[in-house]
Amino acid sequence: MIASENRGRVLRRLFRRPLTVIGLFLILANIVMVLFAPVLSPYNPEEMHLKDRHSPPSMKYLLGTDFYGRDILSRIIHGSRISFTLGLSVVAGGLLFGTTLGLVAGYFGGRVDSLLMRVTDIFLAFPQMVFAMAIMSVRGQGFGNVVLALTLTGWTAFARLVRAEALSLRDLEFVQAVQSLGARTPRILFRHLLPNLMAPIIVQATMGMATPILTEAALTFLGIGIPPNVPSWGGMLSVDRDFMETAWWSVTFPGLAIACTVLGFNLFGDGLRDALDPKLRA
Amino acid sequence: MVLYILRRLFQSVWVLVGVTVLVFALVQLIPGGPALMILGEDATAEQITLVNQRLGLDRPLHVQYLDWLGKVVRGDFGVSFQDSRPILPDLLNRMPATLELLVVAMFFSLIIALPIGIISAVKPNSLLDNVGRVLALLGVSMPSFWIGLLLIMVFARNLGWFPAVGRESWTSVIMPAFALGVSMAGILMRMIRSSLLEVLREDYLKTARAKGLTEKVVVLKHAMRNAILPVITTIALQVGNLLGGSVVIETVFAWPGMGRFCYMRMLQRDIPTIMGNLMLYAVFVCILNIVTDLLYAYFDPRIRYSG
Amino acid sequence: MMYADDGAQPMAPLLEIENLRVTFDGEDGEVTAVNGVTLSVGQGETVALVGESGCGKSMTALSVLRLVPAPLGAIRGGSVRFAGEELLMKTVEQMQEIRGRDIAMIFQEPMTSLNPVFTCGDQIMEAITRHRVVSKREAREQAVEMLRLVGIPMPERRLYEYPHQLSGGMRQRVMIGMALCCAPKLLIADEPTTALDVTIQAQILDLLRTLKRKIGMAILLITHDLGIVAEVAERVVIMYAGEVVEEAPVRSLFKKPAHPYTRGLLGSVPKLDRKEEELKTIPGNVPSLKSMPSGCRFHPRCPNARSLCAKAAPALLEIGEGQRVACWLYGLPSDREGVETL
Repeated sequence: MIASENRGRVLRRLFRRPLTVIGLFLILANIVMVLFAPVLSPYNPEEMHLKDRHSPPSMKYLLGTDFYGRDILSRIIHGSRISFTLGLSVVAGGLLFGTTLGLVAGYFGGRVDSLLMRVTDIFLAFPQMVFAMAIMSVRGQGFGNVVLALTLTGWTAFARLVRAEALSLRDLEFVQAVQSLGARTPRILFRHLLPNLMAPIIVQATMGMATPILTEAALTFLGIGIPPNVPSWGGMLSVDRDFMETAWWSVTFPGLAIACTVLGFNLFGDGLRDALDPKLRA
Repeated sequence: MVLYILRRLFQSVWVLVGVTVLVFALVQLIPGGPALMILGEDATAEQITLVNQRLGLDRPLHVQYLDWLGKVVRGDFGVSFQDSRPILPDLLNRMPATLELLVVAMFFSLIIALPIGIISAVKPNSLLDNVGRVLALLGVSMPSFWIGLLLIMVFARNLGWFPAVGRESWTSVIMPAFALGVSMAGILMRMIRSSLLEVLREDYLKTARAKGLTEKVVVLKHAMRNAILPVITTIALQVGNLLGGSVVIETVFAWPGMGRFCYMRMLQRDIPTIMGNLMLYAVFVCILNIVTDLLYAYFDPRIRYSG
Repeated sequence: MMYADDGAQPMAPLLEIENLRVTFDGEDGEVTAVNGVTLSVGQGETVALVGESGCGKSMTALSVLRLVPAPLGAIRGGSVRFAGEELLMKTVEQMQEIRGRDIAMIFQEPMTSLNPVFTCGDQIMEAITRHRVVSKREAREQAVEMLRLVGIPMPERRLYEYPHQLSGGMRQRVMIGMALCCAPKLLIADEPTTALDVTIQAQILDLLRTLKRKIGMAILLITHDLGIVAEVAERVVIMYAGEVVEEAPVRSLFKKPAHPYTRGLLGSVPKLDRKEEELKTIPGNVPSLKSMPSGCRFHPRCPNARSLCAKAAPALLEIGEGQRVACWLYGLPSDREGVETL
């Protein structure tokens, strides 16, 4: 738990590093795009300016247009909504599912633990991308299916992290004190253990936004993620990949948007870890 | 040591049994069932019953599972919906291309990550360290397929240095392997840095220096032999990720490997091929894990000479 | 001459540390870990450097080998001469030649001081081949010889064992063997027995004493334990808070300790003929390096402190044969040269 007197110190340590601040800035910029997409976009992202197909960056179209003459900047701004909400949903799913399993495994230990850990081993036996693709191919395109696929493949990270931490906490005195007072198990898990695991969980949740965003982009790029009619970064790359020598902007900028967003979460998560856990600091 | 290997093998068998359950369960995720998927939305009830009968899908689930499991254990992955050819030979034929891609990608990521990671750890917080850390994070933040697209755009289309697609000449592998290896390089760089930083504080390095060894020997021999241990585990995990990434990269570069084949069959919803491919990937990852454990034991005498 | 007998006429000093200053960059800025330390070790002599943990004795020892951990620690001034040559002026490469060949060092923690991924034999042979032109076979024979010398049974077999397969005492023997394989003129032993059981401690000290006679080297023994000082050292240097407070031949020191801190240390050594309740401790704590008391650094804990002690730091003053002390009890500023009167 982050005690309040520590909070100031943690914040100071967090913002001391310029890279962390850049990360936060990238995340905030992303959130602004998500919230105010219609206001910020110069054009309707669906509108096809057929006379201006593959028009290079100019004052009229800041980042140029795509094959159908749609404004790339507007599509990037709207595409942020897919990436961000998808990342959030997958992280939330992973948190819910993974954290609970991890807590139970770590707290009870023994047979329960080894059983649950074997289950995570099974899920880890596939490359995440391949597993997600398989799920998408049987379920079909769609936001909900992408969330399902990425949650099914992503929860193990939370489970393993929380389990390891809970395992090290369960023999501590305060847990035994609560046990001896006769607290019920769910109460011990969620009221006493969980708050002490917040620091690593927050870090994992921040860094955990990166993988779903990248995987979704790849799935959509391959045509088995988000349907093509919805503006998404992966979809934009998919549409214009065959025209990259004539319209470099149409593959450069959407990819840059993905990279910047993911970089933001990675930078900020990295800084968070350093600030919350000085042990890990170099 | 032998006991340790046996135990790991035993564990892997259980994991693989679990994998078969999961792969089998995947088919149950199909909305409306495989028959509807094969026949299309406007299939009649009779047609569906007929297909179900022919594929044995009308039997109880556990019978279907055990039947399938029995075949898989014997190496019979069934035949494709698509072209009715046996699946396993088609997959195995494409394995060498994928392995080539993985090995070269790993090679690239190691030759990028090792020097930068080591320099970062030896001179922490120096300019080079900071640049290296930003590069590492950038590496893990860029989608590999996008890197691939940019490489094709610049080095194949504009400069014409490398072929854009296919596997005709020996230079073909360079771009896809690089695109695939970038994120692993980023991860390894960070791992090598933090692992080496920790080892550099160890007492035995003081001993090594007190012997009069040069700084090069101290870092590259005494420190790195220890720092590499956690890196081995990371490499193994990353090879699993490379395998996943190879599916996308093979598609971008039209690389005739397992991943591209798998992707095309997925587009066609060729369920038996997808299941067979998943099994093969899982076996690959399990073997990888065992090899990692052996490597770890080889590099760490404390494990080699116990239990 | 191979044997350096106790009480022999002191020869030209092998190691002379003069006015050494070492700083350390901590969380809250720079602190001075070693402040103007001066001491010497004669040929074949055993000198004990004694003090509580954090008093700068290990930093002083590491400075001799120029192994103060950079970039946090740095030697800021003074001089370290070895066999008449200034070590602080040597190049990095020259220092690497000297380490292990002329000056060897062993450390406190035998458990962590050997590299876990190499065999004991490899680690000893590495030390041999670093400084001598020998074939691999000769190096191996010499390594076996060293292991036999330090009293390790079945040395041919131990050669191929890894550190984790040996006990703490055995590991420290390997460390000593490794340090002595090039017959150094000076061995720096940083708390070599602290981490060991009492019985093993005695064995290791015995071994050091025997080897010293055989090889004829000098030893700078760093310890916080006056008990082992009495057993092995000829001369003792007492450090407190980064400074030398007393220096004396071992007999004089135990007979008539001059500095109040030395007396305090001797009072806290348990003796069999004394009852436990009589065991004295020094009141207060070692001051932290970042908030050093003014004047004499020991004055807040000193039973003999006067107002002068808080104002000016006393310099080392010779008070008997070979005995020097830095304390105002042995002469007021007016009696001394070079000290300003307050």
